[in-house]
Amino acid sequence: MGKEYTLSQQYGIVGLDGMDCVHGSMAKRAALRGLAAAALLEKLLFTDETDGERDLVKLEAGLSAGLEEVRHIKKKTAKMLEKEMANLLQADGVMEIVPDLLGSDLDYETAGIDLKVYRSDNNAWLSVTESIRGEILEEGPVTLECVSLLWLFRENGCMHEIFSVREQQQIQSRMQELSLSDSLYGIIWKQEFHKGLELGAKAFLRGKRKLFQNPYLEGVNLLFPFLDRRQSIFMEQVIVGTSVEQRREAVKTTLLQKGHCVEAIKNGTETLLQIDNMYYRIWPKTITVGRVPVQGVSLMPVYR
Amino acid sequence: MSRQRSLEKILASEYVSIGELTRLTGCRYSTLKYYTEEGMLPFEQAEENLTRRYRREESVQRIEFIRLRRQEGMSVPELKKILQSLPDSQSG
Repeated sequence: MGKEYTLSQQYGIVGLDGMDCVHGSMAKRAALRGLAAAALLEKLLFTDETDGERDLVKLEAGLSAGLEEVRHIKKKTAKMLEKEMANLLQADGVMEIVPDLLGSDLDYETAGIDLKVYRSDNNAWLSVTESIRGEILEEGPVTLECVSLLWLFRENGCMHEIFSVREQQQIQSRMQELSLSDSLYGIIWKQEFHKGLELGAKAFLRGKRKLFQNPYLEGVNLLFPFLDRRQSIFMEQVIVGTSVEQRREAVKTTLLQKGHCVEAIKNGTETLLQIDNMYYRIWPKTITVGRVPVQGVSLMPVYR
Repeated sequence: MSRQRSLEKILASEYVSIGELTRLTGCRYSTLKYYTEEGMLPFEQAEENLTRRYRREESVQRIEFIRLRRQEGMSVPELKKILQSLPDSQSG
């Protein structure tokens, strides 16, 4: 049975998962702003004093003002929030620091770059995401916690890690209905805390909404790789004369040695690799380094 | 607007939602939905809305029963046959 976590902790388990724990990136900055926004929501909505009757006008003003600060959060403050949350989750045994999958990419490996990322415990990750799925995709009441987390995940850009394109469309219309029937949900759902380049990307994507819902299949990742939380990698490997199973086993062995959690998962007719909390498809590929062809496999993230 | 129930409250109640069942059992939502649609996981539906509610104790036992049998290699059709022949309370 899953442990009980606060809103910030639930967000941290999903939002920090797969994020570089040393270096910054646009995806990580968005994740950290999400941490600050989660703390703001807890202060405004989830304390004992805020449980009773709410002044929605005052609340909306407080939320907008707070999110303006979140948008301009200082690096030092964001880093502090990250450390605080990571330490808390690590102490609780639901988060650890592991080598980044990107470090197994040919370019990074040969350059000797050592990258580390946060990895959430798979059971804790599933407990948070599956209970939200069970609530929003089912008929029936939707709780404030669920709406808050959905909003944080939407703003953080990890909806496609949790929901399929169809489910995201379903959620969009469900949230529109909920916003009409409950003003508080409407106030939360319309807020945004994106910034700079991300806003530009979002404006572009708004017109092409479907692209953002499944970045790899629709090709948006080629346009905005900096926004994505997971990367495709290339690993050097002998391809000629090997079978699919042999290549999969070789990848599995290499990654297990590097400290990743790897499992082969059947998905209809194909077999995917679950690496840490994400699914990847293995693709044989040859690249040229200078003029030398290098055989290997490409690992591409697969979304729902 | 409603609030999420604490684990303590969920454990004290007779009926739970599918989202709460995922928290109690660690099972995926899609798996529970599949079990429900295949008739392996009985539920009750309140007349006034479409909300499915599950008897907590029986459902948790049944999910554990299904999980164990699946681990032993039993197929879903075989399991369905066994579950159909059992009253709810005996599936655990």
